[in-house]
Amino acid sequence: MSPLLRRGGGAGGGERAPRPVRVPPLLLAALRDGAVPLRTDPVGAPTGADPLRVAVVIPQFRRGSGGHQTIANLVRGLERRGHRLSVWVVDEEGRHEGQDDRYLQAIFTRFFGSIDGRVRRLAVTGEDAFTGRMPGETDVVLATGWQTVPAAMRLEGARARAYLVQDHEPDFYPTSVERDWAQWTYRQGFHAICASPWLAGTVASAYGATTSSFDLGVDHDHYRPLPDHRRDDQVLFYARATTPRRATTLGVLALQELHRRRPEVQISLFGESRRLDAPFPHEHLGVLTPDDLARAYASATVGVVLSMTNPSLVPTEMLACGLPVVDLATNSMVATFGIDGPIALADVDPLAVADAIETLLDDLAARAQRTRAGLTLAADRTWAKASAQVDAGLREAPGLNSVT
Amino acid sequence: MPVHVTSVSVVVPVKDGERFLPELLAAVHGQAAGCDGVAVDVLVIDSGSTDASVAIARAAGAAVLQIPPAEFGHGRTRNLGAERTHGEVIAFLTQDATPLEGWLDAIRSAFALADDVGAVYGPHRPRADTSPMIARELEAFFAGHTDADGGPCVQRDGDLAWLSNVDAAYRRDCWEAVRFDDRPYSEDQAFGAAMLAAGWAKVFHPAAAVAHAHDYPPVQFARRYFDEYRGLRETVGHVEPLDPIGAARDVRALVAADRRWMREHGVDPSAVRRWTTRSVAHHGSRKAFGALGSRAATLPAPVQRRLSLEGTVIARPSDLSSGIAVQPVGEVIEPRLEQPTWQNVLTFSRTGVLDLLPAVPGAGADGPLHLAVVIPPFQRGSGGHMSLFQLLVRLERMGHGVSIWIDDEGGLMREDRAARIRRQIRDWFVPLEAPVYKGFADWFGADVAVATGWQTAHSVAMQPGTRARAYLVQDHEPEFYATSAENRWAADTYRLGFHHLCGSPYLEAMIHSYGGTTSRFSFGIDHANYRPRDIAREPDTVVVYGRDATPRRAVPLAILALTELLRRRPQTKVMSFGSRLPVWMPFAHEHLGVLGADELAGAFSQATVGLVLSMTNYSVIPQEMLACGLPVVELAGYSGEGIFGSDGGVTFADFDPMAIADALEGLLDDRQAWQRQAQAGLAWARGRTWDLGAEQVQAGLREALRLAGARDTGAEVVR
Repeated sequence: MSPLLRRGGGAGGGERAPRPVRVPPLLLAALRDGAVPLRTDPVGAPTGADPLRVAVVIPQFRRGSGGHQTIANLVRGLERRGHRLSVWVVDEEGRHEGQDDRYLQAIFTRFFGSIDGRVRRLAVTGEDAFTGRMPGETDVVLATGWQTVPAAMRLEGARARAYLVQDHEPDFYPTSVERDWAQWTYRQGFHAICASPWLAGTVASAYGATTSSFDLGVDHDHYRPLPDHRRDDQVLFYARATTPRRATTLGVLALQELHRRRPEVQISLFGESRRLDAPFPHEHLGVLTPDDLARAYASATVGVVLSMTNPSLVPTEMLACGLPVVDLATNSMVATFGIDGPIALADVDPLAVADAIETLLDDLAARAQRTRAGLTLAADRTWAKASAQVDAGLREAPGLNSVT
Repeated sequence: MPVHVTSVSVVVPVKDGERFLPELLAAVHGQAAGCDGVAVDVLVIDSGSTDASVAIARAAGAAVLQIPPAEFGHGRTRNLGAERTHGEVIAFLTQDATPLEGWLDAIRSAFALADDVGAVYGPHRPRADTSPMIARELEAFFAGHTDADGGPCVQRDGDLAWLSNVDAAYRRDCWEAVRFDDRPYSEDQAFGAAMLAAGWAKVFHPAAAVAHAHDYPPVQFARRYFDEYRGLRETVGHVEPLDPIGAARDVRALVAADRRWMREHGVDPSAVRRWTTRSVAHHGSRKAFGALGSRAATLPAPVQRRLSLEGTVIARPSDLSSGIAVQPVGEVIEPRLEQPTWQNVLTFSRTGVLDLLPAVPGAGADGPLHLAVVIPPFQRGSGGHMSLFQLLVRLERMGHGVSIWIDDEGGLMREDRAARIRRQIRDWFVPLEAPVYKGFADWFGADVAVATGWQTAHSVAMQPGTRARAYLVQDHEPEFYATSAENRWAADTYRLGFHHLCGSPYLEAMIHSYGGTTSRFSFGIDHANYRPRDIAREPDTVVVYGRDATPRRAVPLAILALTELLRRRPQTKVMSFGSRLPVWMPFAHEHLGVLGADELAGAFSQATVGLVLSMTNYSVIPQEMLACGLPVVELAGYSGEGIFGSDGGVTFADFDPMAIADALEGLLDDRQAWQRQAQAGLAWARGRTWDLGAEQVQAGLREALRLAGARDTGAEVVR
């Protein structure tokens, strides 16, 4: 772990404990010395459809992390396609301090399902050097979040570097060093495998990276139409206030307006364990399990998810349950779903969002059309397909296709 | 290479289609005859017509294939039609879709648009007797399918997947590769999604149009909705409510929308009245039969058969009646009305910008003004408020009347009366004479209403009785937020038509990017405090602005740079200020905490180099460091160069720890460079006074009045 990350808490803590400033492990080394050279010797280089050895570098994790769930689903999918994967945890925040590799593997499995590959910590010393076990010779080292990129740049023994990009992470930050460094990671020569065509376009055009894209899958075992009594007066809002890009404040204003127009509509909020102060009565569902989410999606009338960056998985999961969705007409949403696609897209304005919800509440034909279009779209989104797309993306990584 | 279509097979599934079949076949043959170089054949697949459909088809020279009614399936039967024909392109029409002039040409030219076009579809136009309700829906629906100029639109993976076999043509190899699913409905939609995913393109061509009779007579229409909602209940569990009051309200709204559409399309008033009756029946029966359809499984078979347009019956599935999944139930939260957030945004979204008072020619060019200044709530030590009050106290001395309005939506100063807030301003900042108001209940207008932060802009826009509006911009505030609603709202405040008084050329450029007008003002320096103190300057000390709670101050970058510097020059001493709590750094350093002005001047007089990083507009701290004779290292490429110049008291370093360490090292090691910069900084700082800043603000406010007047007169001329 980088010395910058060492927690100030603990002995002698209290008010005077220094506040931690987080910098990704090995960032200073990567900025100073750049990436280590890739392996180019032709002996043992994979060709054609040979299985690949992939070292996946992931950030620290916790239960319910959607980003890690996606990584685990793709790891499983790639393993089914014959590849050999290993997972390496960069614990920037010190969340897994004191946990050994066996424990890491066990909780990863418990939280995100089992994978064949091993889960291990990628340990770093105070002087920004690796310590302990490392991936060794691999075909691809795959970074999965901007904080994992410096470590992936400094790992020896890879033939190629790729970068699983699930969102445009600079957007997660106000103007700050984190924003600039997140942008910097897209310029480090990794082949970016992006979770939507919009994202691939953005990463290619803004940073000059080579890119592939894939479509996020849906867990159709959970998210499917249920033989349920669908209500006609319930709006379900993904109110994740701790994630700025989910525009919870905008959603609350829109629902306030909706409540003023139609006090009889029941408003239910989910996605956040803390209750939200809102100037209208509502139901607080908290963080739901996938089973309960599917039931909630099966019984509500309209789902509202607001996406200001790459689309969330939530709208697609709602569609897979037959629930019509209102989202924002941001560039990413329009590019991914189309302005007249299965999702009703509204301008970034509380009244426009309220209008879109109201239209779907009123117009059964519109609701039926969106429901059908949504089911059609979601049916096509599987993790097997996503894994095949990521597989193709890995083979696009420059270091790999140069030896074929 | 684009595809040149030379043969088209038209396939029409038919059951009792005699109403429109003759004109459909005549249109196809007419267009085929007028079209050189393309062979057209027609196949009618009849699934048990009892009317004259088969005879009509034969008489028109179409091939006829008869199948038992039970074998019909939307996907299955169309696959059969494709198998039984040989055209390069297979065009499907429903029996009530009549190709309009240019249909065949449009299909051919659409396939020629690109070599990966696998399917072409066109719009459904209303027939002469189509109800306005349906015509309105059709028009709005297909308007979204064209390209930006209303022309043909090539759609690929990620674009619109919509496709309808009412009027669609397929390239044979594309159909062979994808084929229609055997499903009860939406085989075309599924095909659209699958072909795009498989890498084919499809084209919407506005001229590949058909006249399509969607318009069942009212009763039949209602029965179609019965089927529709019965299907929805089966597939997605949608239950249409039986709620007469809610339904009546919904119907009223839909009927009103139809009437609006008819008026906009010049339908004459008597026809509007006639169609209004139909509109009520249309939307009303849709509601009623939809509700019945949702409950079809509970109805006796003979009733279902009579209600269904298809004449079919569904069994009562056991899980529908007994196995209702339990939806999660959450905690009920009562509304909290005390301090809801961003109410201004919602109110502003409803009302927009209030008109200004009409211009008085020449007013404001000189003489005293009344300035109503709307400010966010504050705490002791707020730098932004200090700068603002320094300017206002001088505007008062210049003879202007100032009133202060606290826009405290978040309730930060909820406990404080206006009189107490006024005393805090005088005690903590400067002795302002202005009266202080909380909220806008006592608003009495102004020559210029002034916003001072994005959260105040909506309030300023909605207050009446002002001749001009101005916006004192101290930083580009959208950047204070991650991509979020607040980030968008903050950016939108620069588009409200205010005149912007900007604290740097960098901010002016930002405002220009939003299309706003600007004037400049400069931040002053309190020279009585910030001057070289009589303290021995240390030879090897960096004082860093370690305000880690403010992301734009780039503290982690400063720490990396200092880490590198300490690696190179372990003897360097680091002092950090600006944060109450110590900030973790991987090297020993002195934590100064939050300092008063006097202590700051002491620290700036004692240290060797100041390190202050700004990723948006510059902080006033480098100004104060220079005034104390302390050279500064800042980030290159943001706002600093426009203020300090590139060869004055400030060294600009790239956004890179190594580059910043280099700059610090240079100043610490090169005494001559250090001397030169210290002197340049002192000389620059002498010209920066709050009096100058206030003069500039006064000029900017008069410019705001002049611009508002010019705009007003301009509007008069146009009228």
